[in-house]
Amino acid sequence: MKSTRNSSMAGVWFILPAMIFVLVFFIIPLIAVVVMSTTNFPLLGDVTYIGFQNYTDIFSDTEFHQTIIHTLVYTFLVTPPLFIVGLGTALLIRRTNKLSSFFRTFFFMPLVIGFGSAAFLWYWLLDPGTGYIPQLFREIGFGRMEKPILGYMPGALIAVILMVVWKFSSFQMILLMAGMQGIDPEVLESSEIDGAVKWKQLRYVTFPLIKRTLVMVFILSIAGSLLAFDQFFIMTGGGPEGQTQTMVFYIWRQAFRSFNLGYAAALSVVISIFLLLVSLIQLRYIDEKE
Amino acid sequence: MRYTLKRKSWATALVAAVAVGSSCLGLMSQAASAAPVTLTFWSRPQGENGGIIKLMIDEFNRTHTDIQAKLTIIPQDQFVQKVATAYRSGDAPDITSVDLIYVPYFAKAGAFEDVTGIYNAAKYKNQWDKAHVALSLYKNKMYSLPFTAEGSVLFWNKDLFKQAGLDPEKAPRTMAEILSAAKKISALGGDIKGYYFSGACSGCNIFTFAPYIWAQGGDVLNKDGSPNFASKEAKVALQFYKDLWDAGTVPESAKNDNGASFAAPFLTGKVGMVGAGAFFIPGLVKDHPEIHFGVTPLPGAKVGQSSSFAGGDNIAVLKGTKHPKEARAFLSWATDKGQEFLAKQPVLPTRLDVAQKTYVPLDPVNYKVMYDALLVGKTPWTTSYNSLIQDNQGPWLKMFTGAIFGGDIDGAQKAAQNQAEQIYKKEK
Repeated sequence: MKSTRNSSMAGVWFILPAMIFVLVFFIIPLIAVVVMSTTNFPLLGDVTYIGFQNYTDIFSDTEFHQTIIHTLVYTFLVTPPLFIVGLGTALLIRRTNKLSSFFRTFFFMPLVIGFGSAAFLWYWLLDPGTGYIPQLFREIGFGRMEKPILGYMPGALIAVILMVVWKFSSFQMILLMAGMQGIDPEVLESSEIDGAVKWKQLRYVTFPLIKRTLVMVFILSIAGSLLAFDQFFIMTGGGPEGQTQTMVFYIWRQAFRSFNLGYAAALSVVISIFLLLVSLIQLRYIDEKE
Repeated sequence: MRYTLKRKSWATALVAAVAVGSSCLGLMSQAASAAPVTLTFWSRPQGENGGIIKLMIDEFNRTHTDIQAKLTIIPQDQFVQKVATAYRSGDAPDITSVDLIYVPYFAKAGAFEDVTGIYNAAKYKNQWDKAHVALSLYKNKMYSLPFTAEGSVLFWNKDLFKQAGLDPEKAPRTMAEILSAAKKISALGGDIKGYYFSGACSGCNIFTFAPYIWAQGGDVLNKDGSPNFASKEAKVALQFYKDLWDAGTVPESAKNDNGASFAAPFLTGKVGMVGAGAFFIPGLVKDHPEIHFGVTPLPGAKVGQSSSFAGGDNIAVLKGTKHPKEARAFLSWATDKGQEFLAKQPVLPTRLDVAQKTYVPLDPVNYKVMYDALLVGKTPWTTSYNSLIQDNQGPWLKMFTGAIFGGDIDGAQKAAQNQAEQIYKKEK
């Protein structure tokens, strides 16, 4: 009995640093944001308690509603190619051989570049005057390529999606590869002996065995896409005509353009709850399956 | 006797010790009073790596022993947030050089000291340019003093004018003449275009486009800061830019240029005209001797009309400074001898007398145009500059892009006016 209590206490001590970290850098700021969301909180000047006014304002904020639609469309469009490219490259390099180290590094490289740097890189690569990509298209006979891809829809959205897939699919590749490497090789061999072709093996053996990894990949992908900011901020600036403005972009504008920190806090709380619900649904789904 | 002597010598020693101690304390206190007061000074970058302001601070420190200034350069995009956050937390600098468009915001929030006294006492009070003074005013009190100036003007490439059959020495005098010249230059073909503007940059276009509205006698904001986006003068200016765009005189890349290029395409020698400021001249002269250019005021619809965006910085003392006397002394120096120093760098000064005497002679042709721009310069006065103008998704740029790229000028003006009115009412 005593030993159980001692080991429990030891466990508490072990997780205490992490708990303090979470408390200081997550729980307390979260409480502060909730408190801020009930005030007018300007960047300068007096703070006034306004109750749920900021939350009720969200219902009539049509510009924010448009950013929700755009963010959902972006999430819906970017998630499949991210997964397909991540899975494809993971399948290519999961076995260790002479070339796999090279390709792992090659595919992983874009991930080590910051999102901001990557977005700037693509912004200039796509510039119709100086960018290499329009120049390449010109060389192979696609005309003058004078129109800036980022200046028109759906070109702007497609360009951002391509950049994100290039930049971020390797993260999914690593997660999926780690999941697949955890599968007992004998299971895969057995399925081959039973006559399963590659696709069927993937569908009926590999996927069920890496289900937790798959859910994690989708949670991270969807949550990341719903929180998209840097790529749109730098590549499109929310344009053309505000058509690529995401939810977080709008929060940034409210906080740092309009200096309306209270309203930005309320929007942040709403998005946090939304993300929490999405993640819970995904986790519930896997629990039910199991 | 021996006892008396002993007592005497003790007494003498005590007196001597007191005398020495007092003199030491006196010296220490003198030393303490001689230690210079260090003022903290925050500025956005002005010149390369904040170079010009650093030079000015070095000059101040070199010529002062009782006060020293310590400069911190804050990136432009973060400037307002950093100063405001520092002010809230009690860590604000003593003095700041702030983009003049933000002075009404800080003044309204009570973050700046009232410097009306320094303004009224200044013997050069009537020499300051009007726009910088107007932006310092909040409820009839001065909360900053004019510091550095900037102005928007039109640059034209004389070689391209000549190639297009235009008189290279004759600058366009109206918007219609710009359009006509731009069409002729674009007709040269290839990559050559007549005009350039950054289509996705609100700040760039308040600087180089709004003067076309002001030159006609119109305005962007009313005197109380309320929006005036749907004016007939704004419609004429928007129509002018739309015509430039529709005629293919502007490179397609302009549409999503967020200001990263701004006036740089002019440096390629393939753009006929561009709006830019005084800051553009030294680099153009030094690094691009192959480009023969002219500078002229941004015109209106009729000959003789012109305007300019009066940019630059004002200098203010943050409320709560521990060194108000020294901070005021710094302001007095910065607006007097500091102006002479800046003009020699060359930075367009806010003092008309200094501009005329020191700045213009450095380049009598081009800098004279900058001086003239200073005389007619305007700056929108509003406590909601960010939301109304600076925000790239705000009403100002939405009106601009909606009218020029979208094609519906009336619709864009109406939508922008509605959005701007909502912001104005909310933030008033």
